[in-house]
Parts: sequence; C-alpha cells; structure tokens
Amino acid sequence: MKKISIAFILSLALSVSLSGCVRYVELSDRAIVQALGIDYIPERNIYRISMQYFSQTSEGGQNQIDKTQPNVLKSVGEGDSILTAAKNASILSGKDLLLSENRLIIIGSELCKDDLMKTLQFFISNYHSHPKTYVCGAENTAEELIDIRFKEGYVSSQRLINLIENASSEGNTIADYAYQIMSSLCNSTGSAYLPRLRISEQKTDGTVPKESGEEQKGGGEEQETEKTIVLDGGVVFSDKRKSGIIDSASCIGLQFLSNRMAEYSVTVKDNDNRSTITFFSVRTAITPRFNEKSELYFDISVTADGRFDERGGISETDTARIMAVKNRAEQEVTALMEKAVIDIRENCHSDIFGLEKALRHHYPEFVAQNKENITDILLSAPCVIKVKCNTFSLGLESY
Amino acid sequence: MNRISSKQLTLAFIASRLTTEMIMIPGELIRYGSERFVAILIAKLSVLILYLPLLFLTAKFKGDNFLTAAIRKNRIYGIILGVLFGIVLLSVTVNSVLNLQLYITDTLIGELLLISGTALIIAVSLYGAIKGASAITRTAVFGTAIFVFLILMIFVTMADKLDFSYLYPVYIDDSNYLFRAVISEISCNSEMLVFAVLCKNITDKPGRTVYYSLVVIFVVLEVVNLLYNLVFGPYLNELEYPLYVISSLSDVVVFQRLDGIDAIVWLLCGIIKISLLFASAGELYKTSSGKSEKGWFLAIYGAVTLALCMFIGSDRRYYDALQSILHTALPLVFAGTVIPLIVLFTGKKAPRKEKENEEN
Repeated sequence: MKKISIAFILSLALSVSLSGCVRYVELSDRAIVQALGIDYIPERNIYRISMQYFSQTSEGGQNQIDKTQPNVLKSVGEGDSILTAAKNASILSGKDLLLSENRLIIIGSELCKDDLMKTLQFFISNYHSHPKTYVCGAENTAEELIDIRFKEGYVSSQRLINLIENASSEGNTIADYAYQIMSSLCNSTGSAYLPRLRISEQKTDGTVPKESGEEQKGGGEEQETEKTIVLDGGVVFSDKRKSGIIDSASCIGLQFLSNRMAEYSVTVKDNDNRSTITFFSVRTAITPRFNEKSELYFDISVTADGRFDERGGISETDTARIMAVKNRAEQEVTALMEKAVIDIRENCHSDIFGLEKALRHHYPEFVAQNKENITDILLSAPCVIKVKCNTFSLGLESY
Repeated sequence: MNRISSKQLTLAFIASRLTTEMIMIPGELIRYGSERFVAILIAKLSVLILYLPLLFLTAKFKGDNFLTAAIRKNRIYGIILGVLFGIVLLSVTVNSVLNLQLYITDTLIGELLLISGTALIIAVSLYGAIKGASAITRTAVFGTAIFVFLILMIFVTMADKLDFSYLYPVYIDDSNYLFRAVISEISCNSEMLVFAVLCKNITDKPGRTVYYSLVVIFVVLEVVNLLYNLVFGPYLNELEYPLYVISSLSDVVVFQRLDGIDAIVWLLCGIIKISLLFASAGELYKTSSGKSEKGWFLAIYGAVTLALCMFIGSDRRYYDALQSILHTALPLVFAGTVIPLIVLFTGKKAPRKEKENEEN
C-alpha cells in the first residue's frame, strides 16, 4: 500500500512538473484550420495559401459557435514553397496553425499545372494533418473560393464538404481523400482526378427555401445576385500534372468506370411517355484480355440491378416494352462511359479508371515486362464496354 | 532467480517485434507488391535456422545460457564472448532508443529535445529492467493484448477502404529489393539476443518461445502487410509509418482518429522491447561477475546508452551508419547464431552436483 501511495504521488508530481518541459500552445492561440486554398502565382513565382480558420467568438454572436454566422476568419501567406507560405499565413494570423481539423484543400488552376504529388506532400507528410481531407481543383484561384462564406453548418467550409459528399453519393463526382489521390498518382501514368469547383452567381440563395406567401424582396424589382460555389466537372491529371478538364457527363461515366457509382437514374422517352430506371448495386469489372492476335484489350462490364421509378404507362406484363426501355437505358449508360473513356484516356492521356491496377491484378508479369512503355499500352488498348441491368418490377419479376 | 514462462516471453517477443514493424523498420523497406509477403516468409524460415544453435544450446546445457556454459569452460574466454555479445546488444539498444525517440518527435511531440526524450525512454526502460524479466513479460501480456486488439479494430474500421484489386498473384519483379527486404526482416529479430540470455530464466521448455513467437509474428506481419497493400497500393512506397497513417484514418464511433491511442500503445511496446534488452544486459553482468546485485551496473549501462544516443543522435550520418550496419543482419547473426554455435561445441556442462544445488 505504501509503495502504491508513493508511486501515485510520484506520478502526480511528475505529470504536474513535466508539462513545463514541453512547449505548448493554448487552444485560444491556435488557428484551427477548416479549409485551405493553395495558389501558384507564375508572374511572381510564389505560392499563396489562404486558409479559413475557426473564429472562436464570431461577430454578432454571444456563444462561441453562432450558427447564424460563418464562424471563420481568413489568413493569407505567400512564400517560395508551400511550407513557407503556410508559416507566413501563421505569422499573419498571429496564431499557431492546427491542421488536424482541416477537411478541405482547394488547388488553384495554375498550381494544377504543377506536380500534384509535390503539392500534397506537405500535408501528407505532416502527421498532424487530418488524413480525411478532401482535395478539389478550382476553376480559377483557390482564394476566390475560400473568400466565399456560407452561413450553413457550424463553420463556412462545412457547406462545401456537404456539397462534395452529396455530389459523390448522388453519382455526380468522385470525392477522394488526399491519401487516395496520392495512391492514384503513384501509378505509372501518374493519373488523378479532382472535383472542380467554380463560382456561380445565382439570383436567390437556392439552398434556402422561400417561406410560402412571402413577397418577393424589392417588390418585383430584380433580385440581388449572390455568389455561391458549384461543382462543375473535374480536373484530370496525367503524369502528375493537369492534363484536361472533363464535363459532368464524363464524371458520371467515370463513376461507372471506376466502380464507384452507388445509384444512377436514367429517363427514357418512349413516344409521349417517360420511364425512369434507377441503376443500383452497380458493379464494374475491368478484365484485361488478349485477342487472337495477342493484342491487349480491356473488357469493361457493368452489372446493376434496376428498378422502374416511373413506369411511364408501361404495364407490368408488357415485357417487350420493358425490355426496350431497359435496353435504351443500358445504351445511355454505355454512351456515358464511352464518352468518359474518350475524354479522359484519349484526350487527357490519363488512367483514372484503374486499367493498370486491373492489368497488374491479372497479368503482373506482363506489367513487369513492359514497364518501360506501360503508359502507351494502357492508353492505346481498346476498351469494350458492356452494360447489363437486371430490371424488375416491384421485386416480383426479373428480366 | 527471475523466472518467466515461455508463453509470457512469447508475448513479450510479439510486442517487441511488432514495435519494430510499426516504429523502427525503415519506411523504404516496406513496399507495395508481393515481394514483401515472400520476404517475410523467407526471413522467418531463415530466422528459425539461425535459432538452431541456440535451441541446441538450451537443450544441451539445460537451465544455462551461452555465457554460463562458456564461463564454466574458462572465465576469460567466457567474458570475451560476453563482451562481444554485449557490444551487439548495446548497439541494438541504442538504435532502438533512437528510433523510438524519432518516432515520438515525428508523430506525437514535435519539439521534444533529444536528451529529454532519450533520457525518459532509458529511465523507464531501466526501471523495468531493474524490476526484472518477470515484471517486463507480465507487462508485455497487457501491452500485446491491446496491440493486437487495436490492429483488429483498425482492420474492422478500415473495411470499407480496402481495395482488393491492389492485390496480384505472387510475382517477383524486383529481386534486389526482395534480397534487401529478407536481410532487413532477419535483422529485425533482436529478440534472438534476448532469448540467448534469458533462456535460462524460462521455467518450461525454452524452445516453445521460439516456435510460438515465430509463427504468431509471421501471421501478424503478413496480415499487417496485407492491410498496407489493400489500403495504400503503390503509395505505400512513399510512407514512413504506414500503420500510423492507417490508424489515423480509422474512426470508431466516439473516437475520430485512433492514431493517438495507437501511438501510445506502440510506445509502451517499444519500452518493453528496450527493457528486455536492458534486462538481458543485466543478466549478462550477473552471470559474468557472479554477483546477484545488478542495479549499479544497469545505472552505468543506462548512462553509457544515453551518452551513445547523444553522440549518434547528434549527426544523421552516424545514425544512418548504425542503421546500415545493423540492417545487414551480420551483428545479429554473429551474436545470436555464431557465438552460441561456438559455445555449443566448446561450452562445459554443469557437474551434476552443481546442477542439483542450483535447482534446489
């Protein structure tokens, strides 16, 4: 008992006295970074970091978190490298940067032309950075996006994170964390994809529903425009640098190709009727094969379950019409995927579908033997796309 | 005498080897692909072969370690072998302390002074060594249980992030890397040195410790390597502490990141490893001096370790030189295989009367 008491007193004394041996920063002296944008200014050959950090006592609010306010402040730093720019931003804010809560990195369009791996290396090698940080590309500068403040969520950046996550779950874009992008960049083609953000001017805040019966502000006069941020396609990287931009349709095709599509609805017009089939449980398999001439090609097959969300006047027993609508939907998805292959692989010379991964998975010796020209092989091998949707009505019939 | 069971020592060895995997093995030697799976298998088979002289020695000189058998033959001869063994043991200890210190500054406390970090690690490890092998192995049971539980937890929470298409059939693309990985894996078995000294303290069959620990460590390392490959793919080649990154990605309901708790458990296991190395040094001293008190020796040994850590840690080139020497596996083979092999043929068994007295 005596020993335990001594050990307890000793550990208590040590914990009180040893804390003075390590430099520490009070929470109020930390800038808890929520989102940051990185730009490269070619004219001055410098990097510019702009960061939104949590403001503990927002203006107009008595509580520490006032949900009616953006709750963020902005700090900017410039430097010869991303590290020095971040340090300068820290000096300007007068606070120690804390990156462990950062959930979003926006890369400016000029910086996208640079080696993306080097850009992200700073955040990845910093073990205190949050590993689940989304990375996006900007149409112009990242700073102009950081400047826009939203009042939704407990901090401004929450709205952007929700936008990205929602678009991803709806099948409109691929939202990857920084480490997943690094994994993608480590392939021999150095390919990656970032969702692209841009500023859009809208007449009303589309996210806030009007109250019923509310008169239009300004008594019929033209409404004020409000800046907001929207997702607009994606930035494609090849050899670790930006190689092109793809539109929203190709992004959907990309979702199918990379086996990331959770659910997708296709509306088929049949005379005056519109039928909507929703693809769910989508599974994409990329299988490399060799034809009779021993030439490589990729067999890309998509299988999905389908459900009629809008029947468009088709009866449950009208098999012929159901099959016709289903075939049209399959063709539409095939067309989206083919467009994505053309836009991404042929125009941007990028392999973000995982063709190399599939090839290595099936033929590792082929990849090793053709190490020198594997990029050319991957970018030139034909892709044969097949889409098969098993539709059923009310879960009773299956075709 | 500080008696320990083979099962307890097995768990201590598992904690020790897993710490090496998480903290001490150079990141460049953990690479994506099937080579490392094969390297772990070859290394474990090789280590089993390297253990053979020690296993034969424990069978031939029951209840003795190599030093006892050598001293019984000739005191000066025994002390020379003990000093040579001790040099390797000391270099492994210094390397382990520096690696642990580096890990703490990289991941936990960025601005920890080299002297305060190493001094604290050495002080805590010495305390364990003074309390004895039995106390260390009992702590290891606790540490290993949490360690394995956390790895399982990480696996479960990372289930949705595993990409099985990263796997491919066993194909050796880079035989040069395979060779380096095998040698490095062999060099990471410093538990062999601990076993060479503490085998005399094991109450039941000492060989069990070797068999059990090799099998369990082999399985755990292959599973952890599989986890690395499934999560990171080719990006694994760029990472220094892959399991730390994985644990920072895992969320468990209330806890947003598991890296903090993981790092502390690995730190505990690192302390266990260094304590075992110190305890082995203390046992060497006791055997060669014939004295039962080892406290003063351990205090001096700890001070020497601290001084060496300060010297080697002061310049990255010294640290790299030490790493490159140890990663050739030659020091380990010399101390863990060659010395026991020499003693196996030249050592002297205890006369029956002496043996009976010791047992009584």
